[in-house]
Amino acid sequence: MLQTGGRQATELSVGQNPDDSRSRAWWPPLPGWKKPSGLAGTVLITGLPIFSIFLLWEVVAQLGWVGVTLLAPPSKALTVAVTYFTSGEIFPHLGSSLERGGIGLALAIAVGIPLGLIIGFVKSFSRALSPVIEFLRQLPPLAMLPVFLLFLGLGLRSQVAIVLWAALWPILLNTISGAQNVDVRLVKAARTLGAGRRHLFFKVALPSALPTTMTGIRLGASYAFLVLVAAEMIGADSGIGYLILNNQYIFKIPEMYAAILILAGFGVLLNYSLLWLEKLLIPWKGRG
Amino acid sequence: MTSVVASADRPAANAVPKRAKIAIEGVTKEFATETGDSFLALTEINCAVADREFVSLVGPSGCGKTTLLEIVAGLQTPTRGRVLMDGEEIEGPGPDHVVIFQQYALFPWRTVAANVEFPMEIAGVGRAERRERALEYLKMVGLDGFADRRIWQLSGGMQQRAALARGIACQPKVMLMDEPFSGADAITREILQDLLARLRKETRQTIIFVTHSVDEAIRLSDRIMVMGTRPGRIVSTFDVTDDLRDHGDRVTELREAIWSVLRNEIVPIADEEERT
Repeated sequence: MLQTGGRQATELSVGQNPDDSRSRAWWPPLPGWKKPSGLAGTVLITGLPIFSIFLLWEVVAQLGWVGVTLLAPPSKALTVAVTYFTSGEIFPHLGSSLERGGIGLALAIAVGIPLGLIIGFVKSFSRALSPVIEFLRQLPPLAMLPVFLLFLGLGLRSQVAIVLWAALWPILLNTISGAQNVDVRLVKAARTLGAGRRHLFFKVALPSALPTTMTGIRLGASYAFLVLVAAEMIGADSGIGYLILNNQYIFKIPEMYAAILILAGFGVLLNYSLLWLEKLLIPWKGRG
Repeated sequence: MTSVVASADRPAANAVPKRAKIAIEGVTKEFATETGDSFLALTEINCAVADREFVSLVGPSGCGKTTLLEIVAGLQTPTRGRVLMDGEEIEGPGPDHVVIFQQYALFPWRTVAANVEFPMEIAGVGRAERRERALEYLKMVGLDGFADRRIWQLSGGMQQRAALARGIACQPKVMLMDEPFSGADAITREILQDLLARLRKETRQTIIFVTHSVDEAIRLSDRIMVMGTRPGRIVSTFDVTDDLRDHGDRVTELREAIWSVLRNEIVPIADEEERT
């Protein structure tokens, strides 16, 4: 049996569990605390901590507690970030990062889901392939980068390969786990309703596995994101990761912070779009 | 299966009538336990269910009534014996002997109507006809207007109605029901029982109904088979008629009779549990 990590894996988004609000609603309210309501309240609650961090950063930088050359104030970094967009300078980098990440993730999904379903559904496949998967998934993606660079050279192909490698394992393992943990009652019911093996696979196992698969895709996307940035620093001449490191090399410190902020914003956007996609595609998640 | 041996052994008194919809012949089920012993869950079950008959299996927990139902459903195979439907041996699960489960077992990724359409989809019924029939079946169970709802938007009772509609959509020769209303609260249970009684009058569906509620069995069945434990077997059979149901005193009498049989089955176990 494969040790699938999907269920226990740390979700990289905080407070996005749809059940959170429901379970927390049972806690008694804090005395003297009135929950801010409406749009203004939401902005206040979610915006205040972020704003405080930026404020602290600004103050520390402006007061010169840390060398101005090392820590650019966020106001400066944000201005540069905006200029990156208005001048269009960021788009080639954003474009190549998106291309690598997109192709790599798409390939990981295209390989991971069918393979995971088959391994999860057919017991002999699971027995045969488990040791191989267990071995391969232990290899950190960045350890594979030299191999990819050797075979595929600098540039798009090796970057796609490393994204594929990073994203494949969580998608594959979560899909396997999903296909293996199909509700027995649903399988029984489907069989008494006339479903044969083919129907069980496509009409029961596949939709049953989707929620865990989607968790795998979200994890895979996060891993791919992390790995891609590092890989771009090592073996690429474009991309956000490259831009960050290169700015540091040539001592464009505000530009470096600007690129980091853009990267962070991009990561948040990615996570939220995947959450949105999950709600759209798998409305039954957590309600089976 | 060793059906030839089983039928040769069968005592003449238990002979199954020829025109039976379902004939259970010498069904025995043994399970291997963790200690390596075998546990006899069912022994030599012989009984028949006539066409359009509503038969309830009543018994204490652990008497093997669900195991027996799953054998009839083709979800489990008997160690010895066989089950015939219209004279042909049941070799696996299928829509002509569909099961309604206690836990509804609806597909959460499908809407209510799409759940009801599932067996028709498998059978290759066209899209438009499927939808039309699904709506009709949902109306039969009182769920018109809920066709495009999601499963989790329905209450437990409504989910069981949807499961019932999905069972009807199979147009089964016999409908097997495994404690279908046990999960419902007392009021919902009454309502669902009424619904089933009405549907059954309309469709004359052959039904085998597993329950641990004597009252439910009396209320719905033509015949009640009382099962005993260790090993699971049929101890007694009682006939019920509408005429009997109309007379409260006779219902009480029947209930008492069934309970006296059940008490004999429960008491020895209770003693045994006290000792251990």
